[in-house]
Amino acid sequence: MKLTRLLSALAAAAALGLASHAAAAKDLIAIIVPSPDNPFFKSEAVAAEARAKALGYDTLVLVHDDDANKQNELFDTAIARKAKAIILDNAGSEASVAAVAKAKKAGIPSFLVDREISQTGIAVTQIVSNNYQGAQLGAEEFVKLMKEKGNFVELVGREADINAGVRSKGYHDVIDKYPGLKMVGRQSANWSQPEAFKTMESLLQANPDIKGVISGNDTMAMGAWAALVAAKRTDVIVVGFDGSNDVRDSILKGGIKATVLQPAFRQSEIAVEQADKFLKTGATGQAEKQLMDCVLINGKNAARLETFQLKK
Amino acid sequence: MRSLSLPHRLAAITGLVLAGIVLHGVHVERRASGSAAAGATPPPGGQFANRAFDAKAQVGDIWDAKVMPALRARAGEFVALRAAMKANLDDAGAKHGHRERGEGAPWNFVTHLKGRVVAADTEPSAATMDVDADGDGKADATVQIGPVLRGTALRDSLPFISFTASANQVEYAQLANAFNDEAFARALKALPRQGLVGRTVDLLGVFTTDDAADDPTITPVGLTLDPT
Repeated sequence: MKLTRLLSALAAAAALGLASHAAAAKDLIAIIVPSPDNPFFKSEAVAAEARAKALGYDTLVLVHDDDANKQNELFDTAIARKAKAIILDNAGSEASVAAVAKAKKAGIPSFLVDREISQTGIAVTQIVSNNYQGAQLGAEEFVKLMKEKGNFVELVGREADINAGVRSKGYHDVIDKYPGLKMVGRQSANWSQPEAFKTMESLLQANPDIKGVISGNDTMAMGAWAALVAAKRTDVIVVGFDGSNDVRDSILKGGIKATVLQPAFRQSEIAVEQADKFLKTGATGQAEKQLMDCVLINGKNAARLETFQLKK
Repeated sequence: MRSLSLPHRLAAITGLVLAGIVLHGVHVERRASGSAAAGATPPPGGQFANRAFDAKAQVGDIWDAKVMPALRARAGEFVALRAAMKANLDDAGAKHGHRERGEGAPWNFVTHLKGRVVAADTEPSAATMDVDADGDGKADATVQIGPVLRGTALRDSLPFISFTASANQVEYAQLANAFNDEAFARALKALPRQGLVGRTVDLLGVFTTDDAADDPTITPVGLTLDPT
């Protein structure tokens, strides 16, 4: 009796040991992203984590808050934790090169999503949101809605974020070809909804004759729209960028006219799939830099938009 | 760092983390005050703006020697190409198209099309005409005639132009715009805007698609109208 008990206890302990060993032996994928306060980045992290777990990895989600120094520390953490791969939405195209190179030196491959870095040959893949193409789509829709003429203002994103400039460039490379469209104001509202509200109020006071607002992202578009509603100027055409659920709801209610969806969710999944393939076979079978196009969202397809995915 | 013992390594990591926290605090403070003071509005292109990059010159340099030969070599006659695309899009793409991205990405096709103009919309800057290629009187393709040419089909149909070889997405996009501008200057600038409907058109052009059932929108690189 005693012996049996002892044996079964031993067996149980051995089983436990095996189980915990098996758990510990799972490979780790580190997912390093900007602040999840922005639903876009949250969607990115959630998608990467779910796909990695489904493929049998442990995950470690770390947030760099768009701070390159903090990102550098998080790379140290990922290296110390012996991550097998890093999924990264980086904190600056120049500043991130050193961190990615450090991981490479430690034998950890990086797979970038959303934003590109300024060098090739360091990350294994860079799956880049085509912000420029998306901005052109938004601008073409804006031009159409404006019927190629009238005064407008532009709200620009935070200066430190590369995409603020890229989107603005995409807007202007389209809009500036139409001589009937005249920009009467251009101001940064730092991606912020309350800031965009105030900026829109003052722009509207200085230029009561504006017909349109083109905004670098959806949160600023929401702020501008609120200011236009308050000033009883719902005739003004507003176009945003990101494809958030807030702007989707506004489009469906006839408020904001259009936005541009960045496929954040699918992009993260693809990065994890390529990391998995690379870890198993030593190659992804794809070019390092891969552009993922954005999709125009307007009244025709807004109802199919949910958390940065366009449902079929 | 690899040669350090574990306690040393831990101490070093702790040091780095502490230094990081201190730096982190400083950094955030500087950035917050900076943006509040200046209210800085980044220029279009931001950090990717590069005055030294001249897409127009690059495209002009390779147009005759590389671009046109590469397109002529892959062009498929429109009606036959459309049938091949419906039979098997990837097989047709491998023969008459190009795509840098792998499986599932849209193809960029090159086609030679001869047909009759059945409609024209020359009011907008992004003017177009609809062309019947198979003689049934109905439009089979939309042809862009500019001056504004939309899309990146021309850049993307050239196997020697790649995103990985470009410095960033802005320069890559500027190449696409420069290709479109060059196509307009060479093929479309002299085209009349009136009386297009009913005339016969003969063109070499490119289009992007992932669905053979859709009528394509073609960007011409060479185009002639029948003499009236």
